[in-house]
Amino acid sequence: MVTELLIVRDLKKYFEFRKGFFTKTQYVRAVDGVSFSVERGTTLGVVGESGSGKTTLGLTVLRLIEPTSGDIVFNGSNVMHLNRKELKNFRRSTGIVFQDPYSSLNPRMRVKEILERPLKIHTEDDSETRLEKIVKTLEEVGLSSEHLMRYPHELSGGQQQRVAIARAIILRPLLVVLDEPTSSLDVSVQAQILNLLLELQSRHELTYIFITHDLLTAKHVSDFIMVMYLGKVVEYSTTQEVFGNPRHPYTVSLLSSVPMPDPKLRGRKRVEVVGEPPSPLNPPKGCRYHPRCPYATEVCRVKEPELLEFSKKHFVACHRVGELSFDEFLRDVSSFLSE
Amino acid sequence: MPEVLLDVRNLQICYETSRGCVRAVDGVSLEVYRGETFCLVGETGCGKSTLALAIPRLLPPNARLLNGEIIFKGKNLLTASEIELQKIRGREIAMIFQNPMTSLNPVHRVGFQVAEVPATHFRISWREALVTAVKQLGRVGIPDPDLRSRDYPHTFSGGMKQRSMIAMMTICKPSLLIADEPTTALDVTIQAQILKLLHELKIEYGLTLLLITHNFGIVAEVCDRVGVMYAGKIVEVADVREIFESPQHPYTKGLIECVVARRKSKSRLNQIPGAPPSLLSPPSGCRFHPRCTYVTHKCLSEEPRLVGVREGHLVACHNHERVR
Repeated sequence: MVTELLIVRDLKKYFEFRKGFFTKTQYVRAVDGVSFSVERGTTLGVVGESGSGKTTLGLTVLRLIEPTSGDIVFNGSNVMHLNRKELKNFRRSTGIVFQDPYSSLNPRMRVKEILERPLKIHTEDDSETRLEKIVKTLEEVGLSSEHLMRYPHELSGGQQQRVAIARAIILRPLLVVLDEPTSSLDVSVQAQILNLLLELQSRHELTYIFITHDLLTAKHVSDFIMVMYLGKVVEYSTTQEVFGNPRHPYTVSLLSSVPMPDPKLRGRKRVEVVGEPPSPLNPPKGCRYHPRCPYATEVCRVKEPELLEFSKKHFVACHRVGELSFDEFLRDVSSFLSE
Repeated sequence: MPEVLLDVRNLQICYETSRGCVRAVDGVSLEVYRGETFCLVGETGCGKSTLALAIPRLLPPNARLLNGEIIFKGKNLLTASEIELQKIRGREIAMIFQNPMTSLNPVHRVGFQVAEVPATHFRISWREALVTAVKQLGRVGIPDPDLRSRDYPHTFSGGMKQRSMIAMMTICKPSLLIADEPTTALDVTIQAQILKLLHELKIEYGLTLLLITHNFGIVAEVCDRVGVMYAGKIVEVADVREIFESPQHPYTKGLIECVVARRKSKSRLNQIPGAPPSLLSPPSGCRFHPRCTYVTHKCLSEEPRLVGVREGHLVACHNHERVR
């Protein structure tokens, strides 16, 4: 029995970019050699700032955009070499939920039609069974049959996101990619949606890839965390390790930057990040983080660090991983986080 | 007793829409003291941005001021003439918005836009105004300000645009700076930089900061006092530590408990059921009652008033003694 549902090896997605007709084609390396695996029934949290390639990664893994190179092994078969029929099957066992529910639901379709679509495409069910399944799924996500005939604009943001989740799970997929599912929602509604997602996961043994820029949300829902910076993975381990014992300066600076909802932590020591993320079109040489890293040395400017196993199941891409200690920055925060 | 810089009294604002009158701000009173950072927290549609826009009288044409007073430095802004207001905006009261892309003019150079502010308010030459603008751009952390001041806004990143806005809005050293979700569109590392910059400028210029946000993390990091808004009303006002340690309103308590950081991973979060109500037809009595777990008969019919429960701690709830 393979426990890994998804294995991704050296995945790359380069977007072509040409400024003028005669200029040389340049590439945006949105995802640049990312490897990871996700165990069945667990959640991988993908964390990063805008431009880190986390959304592209989510789309590429589902082959919603074609990878430039790399391998994606899903449930034992290589997704890169599927024929049309097999690809359709793959689509059936995966689902996706996007950040903005309103723009991901067709405004001309009623909730019933939106949820019927996947059933019509992938199953032989008659209309009665379909309706039964739709109502059952709606109830699972906290809506009811009274919402069947509504259009998306008649629903609140939270309800729209519930419909989007219902659409993603109605075919009982194995893997669901959640791309910032709570970012556009109000705080009180975010908690409802997170509770719903966790509930559905334990009921149906779903495997999640949870993409977010919000570290605290990622910590709450994930078993594993992958921190991305400019298309590269900088740190990858279990949630406890990444939050309890982070080893990459970028991870630590993210943890320092997140506003903590506790006034007592106000004066805490922080690693301050200077400057802004550089353009992914022209990433810095050597370690991509070195221009902003307060710990950068000569070697960081020239040589790109590899993602190496620092301790068991804890991968870090930093030249100075052994020498740096971040204890003083973490003391206050980690006691708060492990509460 | 600290000096009151801004005193809003029983303010009522509605938007005229085709479906009726939306009471975005419905009887809000609040005091902001000189030199403090006051946070207005609330969810989408609770009226916090409308309240902020009303202070410098920047409301859209379909908004109607029904009632109330906004007293700034002893002067009622709601009865002030347009000429008086022009002298106040940018000079005394400045405002930063959520989206820096839409608040900068795309067809003018950044330096020009910043220089316009002192050129309007002070008797200085255009050349002097430009020199001050470049200096201020440097102060807010724009690298090579001399060079970058000649660029157009689209060549700036989101963080740089927000810095330029801050430069523009602080160049006249106003007494009150209103910042409406200034970091919501930015990444966390940039957000931390901008919040730090605002804090530095606040101390350097002795600003009073009115910060509007929905993020309790930001509240905890930068505020002195907090006002929580729900459906057009202020439901609780208190010192930042009080709010986090002993919230007295069920809504405030619910919001703080929603924040994931305090929970064990994968545990169920305390959630507030339902969604915020429509302001076209708000619920009777206490507006929070359909979502409240402490609801009693009194809440359905009688609207709670904002009353003091402790020194500097106001709550609008009939059952605040039961909230634990």
